[in-house]
Amino acid sequence: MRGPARLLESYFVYLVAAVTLAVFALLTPNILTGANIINLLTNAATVAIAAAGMTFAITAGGFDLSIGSILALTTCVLGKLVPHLGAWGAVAVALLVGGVLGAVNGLIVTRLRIQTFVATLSTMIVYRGLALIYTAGRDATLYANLDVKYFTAGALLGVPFPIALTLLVFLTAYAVYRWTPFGVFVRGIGSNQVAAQVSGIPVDAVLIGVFVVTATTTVLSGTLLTSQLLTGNGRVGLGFELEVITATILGGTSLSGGRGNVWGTLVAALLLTIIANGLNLLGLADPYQRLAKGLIFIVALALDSLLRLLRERRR
Amino acid sequence: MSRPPWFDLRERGILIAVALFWAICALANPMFHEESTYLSILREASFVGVAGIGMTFCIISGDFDLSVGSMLSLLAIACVAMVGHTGLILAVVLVTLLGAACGTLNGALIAILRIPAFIATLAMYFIYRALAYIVTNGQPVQFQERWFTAVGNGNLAGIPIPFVYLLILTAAGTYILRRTPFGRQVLAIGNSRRASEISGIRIARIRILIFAVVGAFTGIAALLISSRLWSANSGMKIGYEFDVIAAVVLGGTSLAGGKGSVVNTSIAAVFFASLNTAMNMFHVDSYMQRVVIGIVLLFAFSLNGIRSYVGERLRLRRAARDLGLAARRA
Repeated sequence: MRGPARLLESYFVYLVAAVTLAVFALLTPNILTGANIINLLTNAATVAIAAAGMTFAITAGGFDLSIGSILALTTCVLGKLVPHLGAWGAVAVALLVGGVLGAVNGLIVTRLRIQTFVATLSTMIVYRGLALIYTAGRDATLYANLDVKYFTAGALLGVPFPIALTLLVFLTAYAVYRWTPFGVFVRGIGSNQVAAQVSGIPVDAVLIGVFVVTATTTVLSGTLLTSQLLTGNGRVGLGFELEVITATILGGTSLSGGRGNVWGTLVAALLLTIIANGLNLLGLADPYQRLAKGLIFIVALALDSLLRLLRERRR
Repeated sequence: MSRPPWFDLRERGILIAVALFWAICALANPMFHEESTYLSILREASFVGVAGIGMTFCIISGDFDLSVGSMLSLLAIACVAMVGHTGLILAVVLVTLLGAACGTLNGALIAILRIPAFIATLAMYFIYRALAYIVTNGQPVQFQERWFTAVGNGNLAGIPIPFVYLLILTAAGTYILRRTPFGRQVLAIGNSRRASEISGIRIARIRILIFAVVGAFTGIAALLISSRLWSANSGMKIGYEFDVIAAVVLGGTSLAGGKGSVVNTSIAAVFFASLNTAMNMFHVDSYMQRVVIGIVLLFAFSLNGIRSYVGERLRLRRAARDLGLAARRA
């Protein structure tokens, strides 16, 4: 059964993105130049990649609020370690650190039985504290060994690296979400955790896995970010989790769990970037942009609850 | 026969925690022999505790308000801007009403648009701060009226004035929670939203009211803090919402809703203020302090889980024993 309402629900974000792009194209013709499009896609990558991970968390009926802090910690780890280990070695260490922190989140949620929201709220404070302690609150600027520049300026098979990485992450995410037991379990847990438990799904292990996924995708985002900033700092990424959650929900992943939309997330991340980029090109000052982002977030949430209401009505 | 809750030490674990903590600090550091240390702890605790009273209602009803820190910044700016024109009494009234208005907006998003509370307030967290930045252009605002600094910095009969506010508001909050229909409805909603709905409580209205109450108490906290700091700005008190929620949760208010105590929230605020003071006195690195607070927070969040787990175990064991007895008798 795919009624028109259902279709609208699935493709809503594509429609909004197209309309927004059209509006901005009329207001500022610069937005559709080739250079700006590459620019758009590159900027979208940081949020999009972390949002791919968040799609799993929200589909499983949870949240990860600690990713902003994990992003900060990633920039610090890379800023400190790239001079010693080289770009790839440092990224490997950062991925390991991210994986461990994600597992810690998962263990707190499953063993201490705290709601994901509050658990990751606490680790958000702790992880940022760790990042600040690690760099003593200072910038870890990369002067030597600029291999990390590859992660923004380089190309993979002729495609700019951030765009290639985004595509790679989303193809993997889609495959995992759609065709692997892990994806099926995540959806099952999100639909009904008790039923999932009763039918033998290893709920705790899957949840821990979900937090490892959100953390490691965030490390990838952090790698791109460090490569742009060429510095690590414990204050980076305040509010990053909000942007990522916005992208995920706007993309059609339902807050009530069980229904994710991987490609929707990608389009929504693009949409957010288009809006930010458009507001920039229109010359709006930073606080107004933040205000606009907050308002867009509210609209996205209101839409989500509206769609949920419609769905309930149909039953 | 139930004892009055104030004297029931089982309900006042946090009080024992504060006493123990003070005893340990007094043994380890002579600064904790001074009366002034404790008075300053009480003063600092009040800035969190006052907002904690409102948050207690919110968490009892099963919701959260993450926007209080940003709201506080906006309200403090409003307070500083108007106090010269309005005088103290009118400023208190206006900033409370303004807070209630912000809270009502939060409540409307949550109860009418049906956005989950913590996400709606997370969005408002950014919106209020952006507004604060826009109205001040990112510059700090100051007031010229010296008398207004007394509200946050002065003493009344040797007691810090903010703590006097905290005492009065704690009493008022307890009265509202335990003795008024509104308070009972808050408890009922927290216990079971469905049951309350079926028994005729108008959930949406009560929830909006709850967020208005959070806003009102945040308004008073904003007044105290702006007076304390002689100024306000759009970047002030980042992370304040965590301090407030931490105090409420450490005070034993259940995250699952339905249970909680305003008095315990205020005592827990004193605990956190003591912890901060002690960490400063023992020269704990300021970044390390965050980590410690995060871990205390995690501990507080898991307290209820641990408590209900132990309770469940005890009940199961008792049930098993009773069953065994019955079987033997049969």
